[in-house]
Amino acid sequence: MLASAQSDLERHFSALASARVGHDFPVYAFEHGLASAELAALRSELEAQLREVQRPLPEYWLLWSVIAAEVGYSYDGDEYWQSFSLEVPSWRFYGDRNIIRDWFRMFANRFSGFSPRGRWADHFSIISWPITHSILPRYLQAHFAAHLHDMRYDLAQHGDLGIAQLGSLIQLRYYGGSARFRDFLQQTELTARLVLALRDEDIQGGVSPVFRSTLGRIVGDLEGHQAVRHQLREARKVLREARFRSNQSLFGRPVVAPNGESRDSKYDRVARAKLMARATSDGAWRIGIAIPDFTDILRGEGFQFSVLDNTRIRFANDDGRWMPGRALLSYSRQYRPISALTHAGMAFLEIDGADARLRALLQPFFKLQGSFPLLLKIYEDGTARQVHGNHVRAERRYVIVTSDPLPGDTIAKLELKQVVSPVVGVVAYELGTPAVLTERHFQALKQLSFGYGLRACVEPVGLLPRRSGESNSTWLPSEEVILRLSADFAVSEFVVVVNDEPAVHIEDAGDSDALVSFGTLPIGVHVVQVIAVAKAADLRLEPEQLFLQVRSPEPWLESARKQAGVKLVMEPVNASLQDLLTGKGKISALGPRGRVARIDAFIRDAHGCDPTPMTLGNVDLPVDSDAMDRVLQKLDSDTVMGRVESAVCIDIDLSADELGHDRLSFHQEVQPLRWKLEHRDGSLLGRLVDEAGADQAVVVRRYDLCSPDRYVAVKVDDCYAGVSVPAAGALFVARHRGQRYAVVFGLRERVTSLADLGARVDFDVTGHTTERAVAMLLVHYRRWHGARALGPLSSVHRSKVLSAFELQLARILCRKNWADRANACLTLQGLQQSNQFDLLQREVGGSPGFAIAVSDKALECNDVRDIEHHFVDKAQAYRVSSDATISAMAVALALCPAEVRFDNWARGQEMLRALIANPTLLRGAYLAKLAKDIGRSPGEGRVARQSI
Amino acid sequence: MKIAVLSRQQAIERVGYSLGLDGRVLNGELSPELIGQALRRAASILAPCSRYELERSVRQTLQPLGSPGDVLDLMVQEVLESLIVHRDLLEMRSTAEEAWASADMMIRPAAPSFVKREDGSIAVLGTAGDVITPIPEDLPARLVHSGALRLLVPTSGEPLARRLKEFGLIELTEKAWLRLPRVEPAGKYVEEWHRRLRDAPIGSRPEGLLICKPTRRGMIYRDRWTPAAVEETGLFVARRPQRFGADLWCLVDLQPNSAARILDLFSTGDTLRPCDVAWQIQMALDERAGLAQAFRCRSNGVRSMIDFFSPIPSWAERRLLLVGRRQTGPGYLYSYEMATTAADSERRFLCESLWMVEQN
Repeated sequence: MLASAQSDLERHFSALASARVGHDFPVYAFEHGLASAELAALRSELEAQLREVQRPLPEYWLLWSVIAAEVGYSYDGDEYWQSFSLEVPSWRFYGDRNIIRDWFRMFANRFSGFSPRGRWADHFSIISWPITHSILPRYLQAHFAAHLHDMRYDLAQHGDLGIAQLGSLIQLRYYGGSARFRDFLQQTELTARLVLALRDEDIQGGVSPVFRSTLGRIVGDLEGHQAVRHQLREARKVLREARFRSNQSLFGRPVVAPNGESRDSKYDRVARAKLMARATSDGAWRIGIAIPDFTDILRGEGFQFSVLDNTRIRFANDDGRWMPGRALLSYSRQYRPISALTHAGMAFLEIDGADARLRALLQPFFKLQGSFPLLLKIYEDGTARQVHGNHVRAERRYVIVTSDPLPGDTIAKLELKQVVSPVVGVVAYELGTPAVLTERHFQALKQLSFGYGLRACVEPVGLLPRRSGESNSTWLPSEEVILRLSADFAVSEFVVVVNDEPAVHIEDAGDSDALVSFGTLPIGVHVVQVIAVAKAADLRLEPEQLFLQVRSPEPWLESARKQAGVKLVMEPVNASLQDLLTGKGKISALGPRGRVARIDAFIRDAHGCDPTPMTLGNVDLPVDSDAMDRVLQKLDSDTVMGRVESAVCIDIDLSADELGHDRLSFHQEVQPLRWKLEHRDGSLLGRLVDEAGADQAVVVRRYDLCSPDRYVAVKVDDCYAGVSVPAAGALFVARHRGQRYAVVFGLRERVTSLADLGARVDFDVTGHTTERAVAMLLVHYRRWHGARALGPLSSVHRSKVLSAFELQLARILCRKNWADRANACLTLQGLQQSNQFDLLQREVGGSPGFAIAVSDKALECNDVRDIEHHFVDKAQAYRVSSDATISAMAVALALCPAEVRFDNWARGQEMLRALIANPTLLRGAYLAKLAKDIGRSPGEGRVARQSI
Repeated sequence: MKIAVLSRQQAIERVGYSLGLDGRVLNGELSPELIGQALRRAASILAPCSRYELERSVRQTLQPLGSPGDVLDLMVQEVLESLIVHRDLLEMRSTAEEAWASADMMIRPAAPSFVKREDGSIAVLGTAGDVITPIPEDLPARLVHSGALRLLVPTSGEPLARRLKEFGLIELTEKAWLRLPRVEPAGKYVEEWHRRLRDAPIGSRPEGLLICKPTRRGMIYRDRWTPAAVEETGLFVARRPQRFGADLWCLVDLQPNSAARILDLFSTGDTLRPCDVAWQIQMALDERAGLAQAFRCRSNGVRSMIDFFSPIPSWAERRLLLVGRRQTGPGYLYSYEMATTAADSERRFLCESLWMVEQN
């Protein structure tokens, strides 16, 4: 049976490959066309044969490839080979992973089959074959349908792109959180062909990128879930309509090129920042800026948002406070009042830390267009928006914004009314133009460099436009644009020109008034020009020009989150969940005072489906970071931590009924080599999962809790099978190709202090120079610090070991006696603690002012970078150290030793030597840490004692 | 591209489709459902915005579609009021973070959510940015627009609520949606507000202050509002003007020589609107003065109508919406039509919670 199945499949795949010659459609093993009963029979025959001959036979290589692709299609996204063993139980004993890769390579050669590419395929060098050959694994199908739905209009617009470009677009436009789906999207050719196959499934004849019965099976599975079904159907409908339109010649141009080509200048004009003004209840005009959509600008040039992580921004002429670069995304499409405005380039934003390409992209969007005086037209929503070209029209209301008071005769001629504006450097006037402008108006307008034109009047009808400035509005592909064309004079016809299309003449305009539909427009910027042709021959008329930007609708869940009346705020913005649980990151919650909100955690597996939420608590809004800390600590409990550590994603959700909810998602990367903690036969075993095809090229070492800087070598085969973990726990580190895959396993033994970790935590630093000892401790510290924690109490164990390392470092750097007393100070209370702190502070050395200043400042600072900045300043001011690098290193050693690295050991040794020779500097840094840890400054202590 | 000149009726049909309605059934008229959708969409674009900004924006874009007889201003105002009463849109005080806010009270869209009604239907509330009615793709065709309210009626045994939840909508419990205040005697309610008012400083009366005078049977609600005369003293629900935007609701203790204590009305967490608080205080004041406000119940057997002559707080309207639907007509301000079997408990609710009496 196996032999005939093998030859049948060979014929099938050969025929498929022949049919696709010249189409650039590779063949996938999943396109076998077998029914489920045939597959089941095949699987059971292969299992029997494997059990019998104890190795997979090469004559059935194609059958094994098909079964492997089937497993890739149905596995749960967690562990491929375990799923494989469930389907073919003897595989565990007689299987050979490498041979599967060889057979898929043979498949690719023989049948013009698909070859996986990209970073993910390199890391998961074996399983990437069967998984990609399954075309669209079931566990990723909901992600795919949602992404396709979100991108439907963009894909429709770019339907005529080549395969590679289309796949890149699909990859670039994914902003969701699933790391696995992001990995899958690296197979750009596969995803592009899948999209085309889904679009063109209804076309009979021709060659499909995916075998029809296989596509039918995937679609059937996709449609198995109601929500997914509707997303898929809606997306396919839009794609097919676009295909139909495309055949009739698409018009409109893409807003942005998917491959990062230079953008359309029309787009830049629409996207730039505009000045706005809004009347306040006391009659003044508040002036602000409509901030551009930086998400769109970055996406358009193919930047990931993480490019902002190393930058910071601030509003010019404002309070000068720097904010993390990602704040740009929050400010996108928002209005922001300004407190001052100057001529100097009209710049309102500054960026620091951006590379040249990013800076060049963003800089033009950081300033306003035009120069003083600026003309703003008052619109139907009461907001005044900047007029491009400074052209005035009859019977309109405007606000003029300028830097100096206007001349008296201009004010008189235009009957301007000065209005109050709280913006420094700005004088504002209201202008109401009459129905007929006279020579005196023209003169005054000319003095202001404003133009005047008699034009058609064009107003949107029925749907309020999303305005981003005069003449610029934004629409969705589902919204029909209807404009009312009218004029203040008798009109014989209107002439309408859209983009470069032939002009359309509208002759029968009734009473100089016509409702004109432009239909639903494709994504892009469309330029509409309307010319009113006057009956009177002597009227000089100017065309009216509108820029209609059509964009994809924003996914509604994202919009709902943005508009919610409650907000979660995290600092730093890229903090990990671990950072939050260890106090290195903070979350607070905003919302109406007096309302109660609920905080839930969603702990997600690879499928990403909504699990049952774990309610962390109800809180009174607003919630400060301390209160949030208390709520989040529930995630750090013994019972939950294991689930958290093995989860693919954890969402923290804040909700308050009709006010909506906000959510922070913490994604955890899937490593090709990873550790698991498993219950087997009543005991807990640590097991190494190898999906990298690493096999014997892996070295595993174990570090015990009581001797955390010494290792025991462990056999890698034992790790694949599962090794027992010593009581209390241990650190296991697997090394492969220079990468480290580390985990701290914790068992059930409770650890409350360092002493519980063993008789004594013993460090082996003898026989080394002080600098060498410090460097070695730092290497070990980083190893423990970077390890994942798995199992009950594992994070507690890890943090206790880290504390032991920190204490050991402090003893070397600050002298044992001082370091031990500083450590003991943490556990003291009240006056005792204050006295001890004072004593330690006096023993820092150098000027007493230095110790007071650094600890005071540390308490005020929110992050290490701030502390470092002040510490360097104070060290210089008090002549403790004039070397900023050395001072910064002292802070890093005290506050974040994991970040201290010596790429150049000779230089590192030199720096450490200089540091060790300056105990005042080191103790100052450790005192700053102590002040931060105990949350009080010496000043507070003195006040407390005086009041007793 | 197809450029087409449209008649007014054709334009209304096309606008209807863009707003997610079946344009043909609009019959070329500006209906409450179309205005409701236009307001929701505009609120998503403008929010947070003041009430008058939202009204003005929608009015201006719909104006060219109105027929000469349309009272567009009034229609937009009424539909907006309904959306706020339903909690489709929320009227809340502006926050310190909303530096661009133009008024003290701002409109913002409610989160996409739903609430189950007594008859099994589901009211869909809120909007989400570009998506006016965020529900699964197959459901918009089944939406029933009852005035400005969007309803979904499940088929027999259909787990519609579960589907909506899975889709991402928030299920509001009846309690969370209604936000009913606790039941207490009118005197105690007034006394609590009077106590808060006594903490306010004495100042001069603001210009243009309007007070709500004690009722008389048959008196029209709007006729109760008069400028505060110099000789007038006592405790009143009042409205004080501000330069822009609607007058503010307040409670005043008018004292001789044009002095007054004034307390602007709002509720903690903005769960109640200032006018809701004001109307409830007025009902309590009327009851305490022996002139309790009245409602009328008419029945034609299976259906009953409860007529109101003065506005009632939005939480009371929401409760009535769970069992009935609002309608207008001659001889009353508005009325709620419901099954007669449901009317008894609603009448009891009005008497207990709002100290109203039933008029024969």
